Amino acid sequence: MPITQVKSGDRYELMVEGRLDGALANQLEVEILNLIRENAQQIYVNLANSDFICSAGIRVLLQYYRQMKNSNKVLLVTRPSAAIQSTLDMTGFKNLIVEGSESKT
Amino acid sequence: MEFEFQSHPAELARIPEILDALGRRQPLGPKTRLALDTALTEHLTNIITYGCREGAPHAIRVQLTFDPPCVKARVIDDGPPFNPLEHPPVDTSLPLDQKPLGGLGIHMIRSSMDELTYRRENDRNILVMRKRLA
Repeated sequence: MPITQVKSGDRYELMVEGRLDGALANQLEVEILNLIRENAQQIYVNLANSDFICSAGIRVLLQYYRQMKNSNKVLLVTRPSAAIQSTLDMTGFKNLIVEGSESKT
Repeated sequence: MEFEFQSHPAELARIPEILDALGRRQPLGPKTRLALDTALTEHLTNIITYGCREGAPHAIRVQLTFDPPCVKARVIDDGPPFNPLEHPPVDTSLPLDQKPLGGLGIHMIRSSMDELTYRRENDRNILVMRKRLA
């Protein structure tokens, strides 16, 4: 399973494995929408074991970061791998990462 | 090295293996490989998503060469004219709440490559991308 879920109270962590390509970005969106329906207050997308993110993946993260923020809730990336950190830095999206969980590149 | 891709999203899964093949010719370094992976994935995604002519088979050629101090990727497709370089740059200084959702793919191509050139020739789009070897 490329996406697994860990729940702790109303905090959810989605662990993504492998390439966050277009197909996996669609799956991630489905998982996030399910958690939003369950009234998750905090969603963290753990990318420690993901080695690539495409624009579709960034788009999903950005779209639901905004939607959650508008409801005073949280969606952020946590523990990005070096490759993910590098891509988010390069493209100007490093603020999607939880402060303090950045990877050293 | 030259590779042919069909215009189907499943073909994008081949990009890591072609980069492996390139890396066997000459080591790429992780940052160079990631940059090429990003640019090729985004550009081929755009071609496959927006460049297909209805009902016609559609082939995309990717040529990868070492051209010191760079590695060069040339992507040739027979879709409608499309110059990604004409797309306005994304303002990366905008806060997350104001960043546009569209144009991210082209933005990622621009961000990851050191040089991009485009031309239209014989009814084909030709995008050449260069990345300095790390």
